[in-house]
Amino acid sequence: MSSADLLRRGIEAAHANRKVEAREFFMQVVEVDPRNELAWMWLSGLVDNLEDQIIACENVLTINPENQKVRLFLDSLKRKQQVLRGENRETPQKSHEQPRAHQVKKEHGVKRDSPTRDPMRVAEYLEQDGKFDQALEIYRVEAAKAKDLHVFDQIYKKITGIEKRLAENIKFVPPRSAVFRLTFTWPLLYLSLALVQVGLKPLEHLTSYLWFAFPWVVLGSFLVAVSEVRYRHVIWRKIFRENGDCSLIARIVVGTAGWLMIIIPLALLLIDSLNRLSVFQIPPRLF
Amino acid sequence: MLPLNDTEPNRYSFFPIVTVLLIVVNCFIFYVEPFFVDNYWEFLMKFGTTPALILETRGGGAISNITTMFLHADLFHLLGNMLPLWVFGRRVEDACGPWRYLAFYLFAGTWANILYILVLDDSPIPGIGASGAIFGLMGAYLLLYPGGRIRTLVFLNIIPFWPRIRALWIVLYFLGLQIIPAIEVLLENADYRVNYWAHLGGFFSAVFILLFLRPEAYARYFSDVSV
Repeated sequence: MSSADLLRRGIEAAHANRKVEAREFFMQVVEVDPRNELAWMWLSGLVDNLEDQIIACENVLTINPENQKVRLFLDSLKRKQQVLRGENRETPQKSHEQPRAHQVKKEHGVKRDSPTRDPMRVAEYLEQDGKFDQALEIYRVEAAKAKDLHVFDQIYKKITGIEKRLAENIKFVPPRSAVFRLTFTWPLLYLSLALVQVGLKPLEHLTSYLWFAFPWVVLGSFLVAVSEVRYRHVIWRKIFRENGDCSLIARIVVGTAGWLMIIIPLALLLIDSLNRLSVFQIPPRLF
Repeated sequence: MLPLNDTEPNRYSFFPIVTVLLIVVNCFIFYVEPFFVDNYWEFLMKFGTTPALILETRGGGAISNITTMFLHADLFHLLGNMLPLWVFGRRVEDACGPWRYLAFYLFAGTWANILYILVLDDSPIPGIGASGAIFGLMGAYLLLYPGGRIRTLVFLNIIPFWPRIRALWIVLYFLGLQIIPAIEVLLENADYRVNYWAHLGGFFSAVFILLFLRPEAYARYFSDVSV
């Protein structure tokens, strides 16, 4: 099998989350072709050991010193290695980085909305406000401080997400406007079905519960949207006395309430429709 | 011209669960329908969309409006709808997320029926088929992925080709096929077995697709990058 085939099969296995198999393929590639940059790049994300990750990154940079993404990744890995070796207290790097996270928090007044001192939360709020550069700065510091690989992976995913967004120049849409937009989804469907139910004559065949139910669908749709789009909303402070973008349980409660407020009016509409269908006599002239 | 597959991969989700379920449900209903239906005309009057009955607020109303989207007259009708549902639905579902995609599908189907009712208001003929909703998906696809390419089966005389054609041309081709017969139906009361006005109703309901997009896809749409 050629190294190109091995590389392709390795990438397929990695996409299918078969990490061990993927790693084997890439190892075979670098045995055949030790200067294969792509294989070393994939290996840097697939090996379990931090030392091996660093070696893979260093190999990539030996082959291509211009690869800035890997250089950045290598820097964060080395900082993490320092922390794991217990050097973090002595190194000036951390003592320099720690105040930076707090500095950003103070500068942008995030504390006003959330008394949290957790830098990850602060970074998430900055992200919600569209301040991606500041969020990125904090995430990088936190990635360097991460003490296990799982936490590091999660932060690294956020970093790459923001970097990709900035590279593609994707416009920032405030979460508030996303909630506003998504609130229309289910009411539009309900309104359309209700219109058909009343023969496209909403005023002539005004069925009180049908129209009474409409505001409930709007409210339900709003709650579903709020629980889906994570951001700081007054609902979490007023109802759950929680700061920030709330806990998972609060979101599940609000989301479930929203779904019920959508489903019940829809179900009532369809029951009304079924009742009408059950007494429907097909007129002879239509045959 | 027969669209076969959208060659681009999904961005947000791995599997188009609702699209596949819609295809399965449509096929299942088509398969079991003959075992349960004695009087087909009566069945159509109850579960199809009949403009005269809807406007007189008789029959199923909202429920018939939904059931009509899952009924097909013959195998050709079924396959002719399910193939574009797969081709155009997969990435629209990816951009919306499964629940909002389902809502949009039903919304497009409903507006397809509403336009049919408004244009042929005294028609006693029941309309059936998922095509109105599918034209909605085609319109949505055109708005979201104008540069998308569709693997399409084309016959040149009897020789088959399957080039990747821009979605824009395919959608415009199918839209063009609807417009002239639709005008004939409106002006000359032409009698076609195809519900052209429902197709147009579904297609134009796609202008609302932006309300159904997931936040990331919405942001990408307004940043001039692929949704």
